[in-house]
Order: sequence, then C-alpha cells, then structure tokens
Amino acid sequence: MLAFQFINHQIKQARRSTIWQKSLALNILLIFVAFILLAEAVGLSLLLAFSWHEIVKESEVLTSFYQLTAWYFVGSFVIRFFMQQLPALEIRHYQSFPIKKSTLIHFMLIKGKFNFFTLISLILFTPFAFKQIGYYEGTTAAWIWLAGVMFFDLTINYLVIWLKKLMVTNLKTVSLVLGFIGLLVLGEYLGWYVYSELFAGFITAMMENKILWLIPLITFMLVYLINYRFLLDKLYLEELSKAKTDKATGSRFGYLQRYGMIGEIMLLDIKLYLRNKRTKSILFLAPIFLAYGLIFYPNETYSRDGGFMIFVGIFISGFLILNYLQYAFANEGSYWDLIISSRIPKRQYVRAKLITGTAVVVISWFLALPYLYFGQSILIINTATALFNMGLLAPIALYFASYNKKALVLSKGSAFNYQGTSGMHWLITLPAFALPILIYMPFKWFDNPELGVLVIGASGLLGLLLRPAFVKLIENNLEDRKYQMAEGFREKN
Amino acid sequence: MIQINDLKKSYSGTTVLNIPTLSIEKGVNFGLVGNNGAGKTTMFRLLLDLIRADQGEVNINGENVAKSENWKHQLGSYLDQGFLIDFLSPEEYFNFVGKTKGMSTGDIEAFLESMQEFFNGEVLGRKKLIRNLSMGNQQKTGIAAAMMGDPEILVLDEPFNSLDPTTQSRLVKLIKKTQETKGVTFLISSHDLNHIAEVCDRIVVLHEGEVAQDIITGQDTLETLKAYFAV
Repeated sequence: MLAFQFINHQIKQARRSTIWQKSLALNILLIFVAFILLAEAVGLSLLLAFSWHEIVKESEVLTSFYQLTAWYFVGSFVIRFFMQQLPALEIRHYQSFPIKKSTLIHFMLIKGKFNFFTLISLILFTPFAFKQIGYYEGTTAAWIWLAGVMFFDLTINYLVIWLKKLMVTNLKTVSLVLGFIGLLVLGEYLGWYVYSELFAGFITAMMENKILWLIPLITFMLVYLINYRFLLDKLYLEELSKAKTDKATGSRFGYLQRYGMIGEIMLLDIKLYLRNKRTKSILFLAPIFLAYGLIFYPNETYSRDGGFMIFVGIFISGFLILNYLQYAFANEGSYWDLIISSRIPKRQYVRAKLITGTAVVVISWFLALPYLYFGQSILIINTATALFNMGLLAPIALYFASYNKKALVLSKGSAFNYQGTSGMHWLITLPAFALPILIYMPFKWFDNPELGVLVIGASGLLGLLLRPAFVKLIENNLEDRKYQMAEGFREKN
Repeated sequence: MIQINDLKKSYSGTTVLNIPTLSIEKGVNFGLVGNNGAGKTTMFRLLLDLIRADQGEVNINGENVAKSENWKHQLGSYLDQGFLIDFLSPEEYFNFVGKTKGMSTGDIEAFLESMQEFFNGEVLGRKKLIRNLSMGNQQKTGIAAAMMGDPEILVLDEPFNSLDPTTQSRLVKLIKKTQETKGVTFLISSHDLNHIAEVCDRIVVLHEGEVAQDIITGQDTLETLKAYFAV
C-alpha cells in the first residue's frame, strides 16, 4: 500500500534527522508536556461528564454545554491558527514517480487530520456524549452529537490548514480572520446577537431533527474539497513560480554599507527577511503583536501594576527580536559553510546580530509610544521591559540560537514547505518571558511594585553595560559549536 | 605551503579519511580524484575547518586551521551550494563576499569586469536572484566569488560539474592563467580525468580515505588514471 510507504518515509525522515537524535532531552520534555496536557484533558473531560449537571442550572444542562462548545471551537480555531503544524509531504520526491497527484494530496490532507488538537477534542467530548447526552437523549443521540461536533472540529481543522496555506501567499487573510473573530466577540459583547446561543440553538435543532447533523458532515466535506482543489492548483503553480523571477527588495538600505562589515551583515539580514516567504510572514505578523496591548490596556479588570502588564510589555518589544535572534544562525543555515569559512570575524558577526536586535527593540518601543494614552505607568513598564529586551533577552536568545541546528528552509517558494513551524519554539521562549516576571514578583509581594519595574529596567541597563562580556560568551560558544551546527545545517531538512 | 599530519576522520566507526602525511607545495596545482565516498569532500572540508578532525591537523603556512583564522586571508573556496546566499542577486553576493575579503567597490567592479568572459553574459545584469539561476550559472557564481580578493590558494570541489562544455574549457583556461599570472595554487577535485590531468601538476588518487596514488602529471598521466579506474 502506497499510504504505508508514505507513512514509513515520514517516520524515517523524522527519526533520522539530527534534531531527533541529538536533542533527545528536548524530545522527552516535549513528550512529557504533551502527556501532561492529555492527562489534563482526560481529567477535565471526566469532570465535565460526571458533574456538569451539578455545575449549571438543572433546566439547561445541555444548552449551556452547547454554548460552551461554541466558544471552545472559537478558541480552538485561534490556537490552531497560531500553533498547529501544517501537514507536509515533500511532494517533489514523489512527483517523478507514477503516483497520482490526487493520491499525494489525499495522503497529505488525511495526515493533517491526525493531530494533537483533534485528539484533545475527541477526549473532551466523548465522555460527555455518553454520560450526559446519553442520559438525557439516549445513546443514539449521543453518537449523532459526537459525530456532529467532531465534524465541526474537523471543519475547523481543515479551515485552518487552508487559511494557513493561503496566508503564505496572501497575508490579508490573517487580518480577515482576526477581524472575524473580533466581530464575533464584539457582537456578543454589545448584544447585537449571541453567537453562542445561535450555535447552541443549532445543536439543539440537530438533536431534534436528526437529518440536520448532515450539515456538519457537508461543511466538513466542502472544506476538505476546497483544500484539495487548492493544493491541486498549487501543484501546477509550483512549476510556474519557479520560472518567475523574484524581485530584489531591500536595496534601499544600502547606506548601512557605510558602517563596514557590521553594516554588511545587518544589510544581509534585512534582505534575508524581506526576500524570503517565511521571514516575510513573520514581519507581517509583527504589527499584530505590537497591537497586543490594545487587548489588555483598555480593560479595567487587568490591574495596571500587575505582572501581566510586564508580560505584555516584554511581548510588544520582544516578539520580533526573539524570533530574529533565536533563529539568527538557523536562518543562515543554507550558507553556513560560507559564513564560517569567510574572513568575517566572529565577534563582528555576533555584534551585528545584537545591534540589529537592539535597533528592532528601539523601533518597537517608539511605535508603542502611543500607549501613553492608557497612562504613564504603561509607558514606564514598556520602557523598562524594552531595556530588559535589549540588555538581557537579546543576548540570551542569541546564545541559545547556536542550539538550533536545523537550517530553516526559507527560500523554497513552495506551498508544501512548512518545515520547522511548531509549538516547540514557545517551549524555549517561555522561560525567557518568565524571567522579568520572576524578578518583579518578590517586589510586588513586598508591596513595592514600582521598585520591581525599576529593577527590571536596571537589569536591562546592566545587561547593556555587560554586552562586551556577552558578546565574548556567545562568540566562544559559537566557536565551540560551529562544527555541530554545520553538520546539522548540511542535512537539508 | 599546506601540510597535513596524521589526519583522520571517521563517521560512526567507519574511517572516511586517513592521511598520515601529505604536503602540497606552492605553485603546484593539486588534483584530487577518487570514486564516490573516497573522501575528497571530507578532505576539503577538513582543510577549510568546516568539520572537526578526529585526529591530526591541517596546517596552512604553518598555522593549524582549527586553531587560527589568519589562513582565511590566503584562501578562497567553493565546495557546494552551501557557499551561496540564494536570496541575493549575483551582484549583491559578489559585493558581500568582496567586502568580507576587504575589497573596495572599485576592486569588485574591476574583478567582475575581468570575469565577463567566464560568465558568458549569463550571470550579471539579469535581475535575477541566485536561487533563480540555473545550476550552471550558480556554479559560475560560486567559483568566481571564491576567486575574489586574490587568494594564494583556491579550493574548488568538482568545479566542472554542471558547467556547459564551453564554460568548462573557459574554466580550464582561467585556472591556468590565474596560476601563471598570479601564482595561485589550485586544489581541485573532479571526476573528469581529462580536465584534471590538463590543469593539475600533481594528482592524488584517494581510495577509501587513503592515498592510493600520488602522480606528478606527465605525458602518460591520463592513461595511468584511466587504467586505474577501469573495471
């Protein structure tokens, strides 16, 4: 069977990459985290199944659960949109063999069905279906309900896959999706309509009139078909886009060359970001993270001096540099041999990366200045966190960048290339975000939050003063690890 | 000029390179031939300090390549596409590499002008990024970039690959001319016995990581090599 062959290849590809073999510890950590999440999902599902009727009012046990389900799907959509790894199969390897295109695409799509999020949904809904719905409506209804919600889940799954694939070529979709969800929330908030009640109404109708459960089935098939057609189309576009010539952007930054080798390296990074699809999409996401504050600042329920505001501040000026610096070397993986055999002094190379990172923080800080509207304390927190990002977050991220041994495939303008995008990045990132909050919390407990903010800013300043020492540290580490990195980078995906 | 001492490299128990001693003299073009897996690329990578030697050392002008970086000023190299920055245009790439080698904009322009014949009008001024070039033109770009900055030693791994026949003979001429006029020593590996016999003064045959033959090129070198590889 062809499908088994494909699965076999996929497993081999994963198992035989250096990443899997050499960072066993990280894999164990990931499996551990996944295990915890699954265990929690099981616990939650049992809790819901056995005591939902005690949590809510007797009369609307099921309806209120349907409403919850409505928001669960919205949340699931958002999380999937940002975290879910897209199913990928290196089509190129197989294209020359007598395998039907449709087989390849179906395999890719069906592979996308089996993911962590779908599993979570299945775990959450199954016990509830048989315990609660089975109790009120009977076992047949429970089966129908479960099938219905799972088809909704799969619809969302494929909708996300489709949107994410679109996004690579068309970034308007990101704003459209966010706008749509914003409208959903805002509508319910302002009382124009109640999305969750509409959704619950539909489920109730589905339970009464069993024929309606075909609707989720049909929407699922429809979305699957859209995906299928889209990919089928792309298989041709692939060949066309190869002949198309890319435009050379970023030449405007030529003045950087006046600053010697460091300027050259910075210019190269700017071009790298502007000319590769993958990095471009990060740049397009950046304004969204800059606007992150808008979600929290206007809301009175978040205390202004709370640790949460610090998190927001770190995020606003830190998102982009964390991405840039963490992958500073992996981004250059495809020409790493050139970098290490060139005459570029390692120290200048490291310094150039940090200077670019600092510049990005400064620009983000300036762009975030209008948040002053929400009060002086916001500005002070954002300034302190920007200093922290420049002084400490930047060198820490760059230090750990040498442990990313998988070259990021940036330039393959391929719709089938989503290599390296997953939740793992955040697993490494979270400790970096937690550090300033750890600094801050003791001061908060001793009733002096302002001092906590000052200490965060001061630690950032200290980091800036110690930068030469950091540069030396990163340089030595890079020198130590360059062979291992080169070996990992040479392994093309 | 280049001295290899007791050099060993193995991957998971299999020795891929084992050279007790080998010295390469200045001005003597050095050719490396051998079947796939004979250790040619491994030797060049060790020479450029791209992989760590299990044992032994490579010295260039008396400096251990793994411990110093000064030798980088005397050496130009192009092994494979890992040396190309594919999102740059050839002009930008030459500019970047030139700057890393301390060339001024004027130097770079003059250099590119001198390479026009080798490029055959297919590399410069086409408003294409390197990733949109054909394999042959990428190869030309890489070889040319290696030659920038007047290095004393040039290391090229299978430079004749993917080049069209005309460019192949142009490259032969270019190598000979550069050796004569600038005193550059070439280290070249190739599967093309004709070309390597034509441009190299000394040819080493590698077999399973060891030096099997060490030939000073003469009248009958090509026949010797052909006889060696014949089955």
